Amino acid sequence: MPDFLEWVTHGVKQGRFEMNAAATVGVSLVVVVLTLVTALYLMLISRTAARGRYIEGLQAQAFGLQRENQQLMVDIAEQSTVSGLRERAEALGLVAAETIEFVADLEQ
Amino acid sequence: MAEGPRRRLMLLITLLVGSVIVVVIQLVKVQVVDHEFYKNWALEQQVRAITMDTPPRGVIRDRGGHLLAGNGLRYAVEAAPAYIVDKAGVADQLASVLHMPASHIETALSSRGHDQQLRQWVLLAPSVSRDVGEGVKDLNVSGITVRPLWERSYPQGTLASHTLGFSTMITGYYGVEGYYDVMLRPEVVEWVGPVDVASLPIPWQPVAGELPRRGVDLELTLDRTVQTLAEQELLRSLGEYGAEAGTIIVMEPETFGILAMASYPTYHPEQYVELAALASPPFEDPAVSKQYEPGSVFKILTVAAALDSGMVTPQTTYNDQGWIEVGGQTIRNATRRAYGVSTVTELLAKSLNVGAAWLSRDMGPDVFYSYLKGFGLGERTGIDLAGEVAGQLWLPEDVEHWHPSNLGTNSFGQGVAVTPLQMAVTVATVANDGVRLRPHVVGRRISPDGAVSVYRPVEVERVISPETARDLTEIMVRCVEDEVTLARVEGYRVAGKSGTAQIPVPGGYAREGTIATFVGFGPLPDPELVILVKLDRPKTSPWAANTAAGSFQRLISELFTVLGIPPEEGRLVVEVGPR
Repeated sequence: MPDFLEWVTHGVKQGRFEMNAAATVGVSLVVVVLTLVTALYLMLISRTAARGRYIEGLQAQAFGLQRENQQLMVDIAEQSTVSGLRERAEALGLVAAETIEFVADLEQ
Repeated sequence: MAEGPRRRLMLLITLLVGSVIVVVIQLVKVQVVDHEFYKNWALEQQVRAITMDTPPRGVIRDRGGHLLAGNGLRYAVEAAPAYIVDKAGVADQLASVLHMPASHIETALSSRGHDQQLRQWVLLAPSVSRDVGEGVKDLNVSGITVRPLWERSYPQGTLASHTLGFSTMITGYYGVEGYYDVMLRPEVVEWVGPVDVASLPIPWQPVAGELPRRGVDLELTLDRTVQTLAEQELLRSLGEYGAEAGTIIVMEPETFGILAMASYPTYHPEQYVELAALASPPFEDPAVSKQYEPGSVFKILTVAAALDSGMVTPQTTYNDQGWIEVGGQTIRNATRRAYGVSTVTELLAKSLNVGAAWLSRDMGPDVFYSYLKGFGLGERTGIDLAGEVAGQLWLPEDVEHWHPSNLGTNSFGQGVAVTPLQMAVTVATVANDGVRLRPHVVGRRISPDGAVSVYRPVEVERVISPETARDLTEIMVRCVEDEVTLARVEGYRVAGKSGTAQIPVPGGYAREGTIATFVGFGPLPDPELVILVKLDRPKTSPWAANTAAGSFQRLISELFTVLGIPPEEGRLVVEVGPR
C-alpha cells in the first residue's frame, strides 16, 4: 500500500510522463492505423448511404412515373370511349352507313 | 506526506474506486444480465417495417386492347399536428383547396388522444382528386403530407359492368375482378430497417433494387364494340317491347369465348359504395348468377337427344292430337291446337309441346337426362366469372323432387332452371358440331415481367355427333325461315329458336308476364356468332317470336356488318372468284 501511494503521489508531484522512442513510434502507428480505419469506415458508410439515397430517389421516380402512366392510360381510355367517338364523329358531320355492300376481291 | 492530505487522497481514491465499481456493476448488468432486453428495446426504436409504395392492380382490357378497368391516381391528405405551429393559418390555407370548412380542419389539427396529448397523425381527407391533392402539395405546408393512392377506374362507365365486377382499393368482387382477384392484386413489399426520427429509412445498407410487382394484366375475349352494340340493342328492346329487364350474350361458337354479355339493370362499378347500401344491389350478373325456366328454347335439347340417340330423324312423323299424357299429367300445345301428322322438323319449327313430350317419353328418362347432363345442365359451365350458379335439374334419382311427369314438362323447358349462359352454351355446342367447350372471358394474361399466357379452348365433352348437329342446325334454320320470320337476316342463313316461358310462382305459374328468349347462330354454314336474347316480362307481346327474335335480328345484322362478315352471296363470289 505505501508503494502504491508513493507511485500515485509521485505521479502527481512529477506531473510529467516519459516514454522511449520505440514506444512513441508504436503508439503513433496505432493512432495512424486507427485513424485510417475510421476514415475508411466512414467513407464506406457515407458512400453506401449516398447510394441508398440515390436508389430511393430512383424508386420514388419510378413509382411517380408508374402513377403518371396509369393515370394517362385511364385519361386516354376516357377520351376514346365508343360514345365519345360517336359524338365526335357526329360533330364532324359523319353519319352511319345505311347499307354496306361487300365487294369480292377477285385477285385473292 | 502530512496526515490531512493523505486522508483526503485516500478518501478521493476510495470514492473513485467505489464509483468505478458501481459503473462496472451497472455495465455488467446492462451489457450482460439485461443484454436481450436492451437490445430489443433499441431495435424497437430504431427498426421499422415500412410498406413500400404499392404498385397498381392489374388492368383489364378488351380483346382490342381498349382499357376497361385501370388505375386512377388520388391522394390522401394527412397531418402531423405537432409540426404545425399556426393551426388556424394552415386550416385557412387548406380549406380553400380541400373545399372543407376551415373550422373543421382546425378542430382536426387540434384534436387530442386519450392521453390528452396532440394526436401524432390525423387523416384530413381520405381520398381527394389528383388536382386537389397536387394543390395541397403545392402549398408546401410543414406537417401536411399528401400520400398518393390508387383508385380503381372504369373509363368506359357502365359498359360490361356485370362482367367486370368492381374493386375496392384492395379486393375485387363479382365478375372478372372477383374471379381473378388474387392474380390482379399487386405485390405488397415491406422494407425493414433503421429509421430516423421522422420514421424515414436510413439507407446505411444497400436497399432492394427491385420494385414490388404490379398485378397481372388481363385481356378479355370481350369486344368493346360488340359489347356496346349489345347493350344498345338491349336498351332499345326494353324500351320498344316494354320489358322490365333483359340479358344478351354474344359468343364465338368455335372457341366459346364471350364477345359480349349485357344485362339490364346495370350499374357503374365506381359507385359500388352507394349501390351497396341499396336493399338489393345490382352486382350479381344475371347472365350467370340468375336462373329461369327457359321454355321452348329447351326443345332444341330434346330434339338433339332424340336425333342423336337414333330414335328419330328430322323426317320422322308422329300424330299430334293436341295433347299427350306423361306421368299422369296432360300436356297440351301452347296454342291448344292439334297439328295432326307432323315431322320432327315441324315439331321444333312450330314449337309443339306435345311433340317434345312424345320424344322425351319415348326416349325414357335414362337417355333423355343423360343428354341434358351432357349439355352441362344442372352444373356450372366453369366460366371464369365470380358467382356462377348451376341452375336446377332434378333427375329421377332425386326422389323427393322428381316426378314422372317431369319427363314431359322438362322436354319443353318447364320444371327446369338454367342460366342464360347455360342456354347459350347449349346452342353454341350445336353450332360447334356437337362439341361442348368451356366458356371463358379471359383470352390472355400478361404477367408484370411481360410473359403472356394465352387461353386455349378446353373441350368438355362431345355431346352429339356432327351429323346430328348439322341436322339440328337445318331444323333450326327452318324455324327462322318458316315460323319466326322476324329473326330472318337478308343475305344470310341463320339458325334459331324462340322460347316463351311462363314465370313460376309458388303453387304454379304467374297469370301474367312471360320470359321471352331467342337464341340463334349464324352465318351458316360456318357460324361465327351465337346470340342469346332474353327479355323479362315484355309488354307489347308475350311471345318471343314477336319480341326477342326482333332484337336478335337487329343485333346479328349489325354485328355481321361491324365484324366484316359478308353475306352468303359475297362469300360465294370470294370463294368462286379466283378459280
